[in-house]
Amino acid sequence: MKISSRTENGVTILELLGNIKTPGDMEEFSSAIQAELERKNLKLLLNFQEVGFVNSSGLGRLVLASKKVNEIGGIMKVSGLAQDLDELFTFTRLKEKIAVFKTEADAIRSFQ
Amino acid sequence: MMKPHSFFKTLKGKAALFILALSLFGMVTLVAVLMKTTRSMQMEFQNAKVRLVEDFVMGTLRPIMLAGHGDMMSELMSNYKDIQDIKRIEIVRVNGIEAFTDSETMEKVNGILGEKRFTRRLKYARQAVPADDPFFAKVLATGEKVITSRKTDNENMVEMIFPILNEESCYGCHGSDHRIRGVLVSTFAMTKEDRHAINDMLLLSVVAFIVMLGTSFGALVFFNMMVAGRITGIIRRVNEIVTHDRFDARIPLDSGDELDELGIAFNHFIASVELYRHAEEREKERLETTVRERTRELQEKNDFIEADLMVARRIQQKLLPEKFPENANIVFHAAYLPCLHLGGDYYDVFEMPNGHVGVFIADASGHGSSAALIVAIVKSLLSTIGKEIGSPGYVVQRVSNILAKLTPDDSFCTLFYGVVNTSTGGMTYSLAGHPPPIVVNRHTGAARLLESNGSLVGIFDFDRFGDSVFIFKPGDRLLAYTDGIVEAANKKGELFGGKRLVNVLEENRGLSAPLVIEAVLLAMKNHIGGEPLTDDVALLVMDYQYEGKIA
Repeated sequence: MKISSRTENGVTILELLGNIKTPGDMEEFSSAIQAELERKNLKLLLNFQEVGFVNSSGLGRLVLASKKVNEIGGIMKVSGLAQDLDELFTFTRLKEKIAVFKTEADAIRSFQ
Repeated sequence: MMKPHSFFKTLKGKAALFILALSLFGMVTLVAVLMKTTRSMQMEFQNAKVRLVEDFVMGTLRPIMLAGHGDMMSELMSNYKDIQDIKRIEIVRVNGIEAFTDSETMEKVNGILGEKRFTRRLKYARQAVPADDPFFAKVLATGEKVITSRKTDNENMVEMIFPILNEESCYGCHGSDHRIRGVLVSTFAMTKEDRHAINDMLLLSVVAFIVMLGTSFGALVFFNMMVAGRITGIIRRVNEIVTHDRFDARIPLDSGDELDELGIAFNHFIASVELYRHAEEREKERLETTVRERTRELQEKNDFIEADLMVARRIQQKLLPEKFPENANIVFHAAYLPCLHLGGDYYDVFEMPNGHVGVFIADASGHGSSAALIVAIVKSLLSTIGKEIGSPGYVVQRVSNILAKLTPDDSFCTLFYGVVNTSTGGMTYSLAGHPPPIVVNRHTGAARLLESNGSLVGIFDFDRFGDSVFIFKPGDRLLAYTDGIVEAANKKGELFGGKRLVNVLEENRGLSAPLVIEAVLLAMKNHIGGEPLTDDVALLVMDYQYEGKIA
């Protein structure tokens, strides 16, 4: 997978591209989050627009990232989930733990 | 390999240029020396001729002239001209000419001589040398002879202008008031012999030049054969050795000269390369041996791990229930396809007091041995805690808290845990982060999904898990499954999905539990084609009060 980072209205947007399923994907994802936290970017938005599939290990990394961000007083939100992923977030009740928005713009507005 | 040079950039070309330049220099030098020598030879010939003419005039002709024998003088001069190859010879009287310009003077002279010797006035009139000729004037003024060269009739003619001094013996006729009484002018060219001598010398020079040119050409051929050609030969041989990878070959050494030294230097170089190649081959062999050994070691370790995993798999299979509790109201059946040796999925059904059964299906994050360990913990926790405490939500909450402490921060499991009253069909359940089980009524075909009431197990600290209630109706069939079945993907990446799963269940609702599981697995395999499973697949079917009739 590939991750690109940009900032909009003080929100750091990480655009994820590809699947989160291999050990390499996990490392890439965790490193990207860690890098943002080291830069003291505490308002993180993960844009899942271009993500096709997340397996259970990927989901674990996602939850762990969210916990880490929360621990240091930051906030991590998610936008652009495809239908399968939205269902996954629903039945795992992750929507109660991580704020999920339909669009990136909605998510950015929610930070204000 | 170097590109071929133009001829003049090669050693041969340079040597040829050098020899050509040397030949040109030699030729120019030869021509210069030749011209100078010819000139000095010509001068020598001239001087000799001048002395002869002078001696003839002053020694032989003068007494005859003084004796007044004009005819004899004329004849002698004519003979002398022919003998000496003299073109013209004339005597010009400078003073006393007037004495002969009239008959009186002539008679006077004849009277002095005592006989009549001069019968005509003047035989040799000045013709070739004009009176205003500067050399003629110079001779008159200085009394010294002058020798000049003039080009006439395409031949270098030498002209000697020689003064005849007025002496006492001449005073009688010529008077004594002047120093010079006549001038001898003689014009002559080189003799044939002289020219032959010069031509011979020229011929000799041309022969010398041709010999020099021939020698130079010979030197060039020799140089090409002995140096340039052999250097080219050495280079060609080195190229062959390098191109055909024949580093065991050598450059032949047979001349014993400096070029053999060059060959020896190249042979040393080729030998070094050969040694290096041998060393490289040995190193390659050593590496290959090392790789083979390492591969064998790895294979051995892998075999060991494989064998170990097979044991673990057998243990895990033993953990899975072989038989399910069964009574008139309820029937269970299950299937399990791990994608690796060990699976991260698990299910169990156990009897509880008062006609209740505990049924659960779990899926640990990841797969393989780590997931297998997590589900083994979950199994032991559920089968012990579950039997003690009634509320599935509370049980799951306890399991979650313990699991959070025991497993890595990003590990979790998902769970469906239900406690079913086999008499009434009432079920209290906790559905924690798990794909919702499907309930299809085998009579009506109506399908429903159980509602989730909890999140992932073992990852959030102190998370709460609730209880829900579901009442099974006669003919209801519950399918609890792990996500491996719905996420099984074909080559295009299309997932099998929940909808297909529900459809298969609806279409095959008349089949018994084992057969419907087979139907589901067949549909999944048909969907994925030859693609391998990327996650474990577990299916657990519970049939409640079915009479074997479809409504």
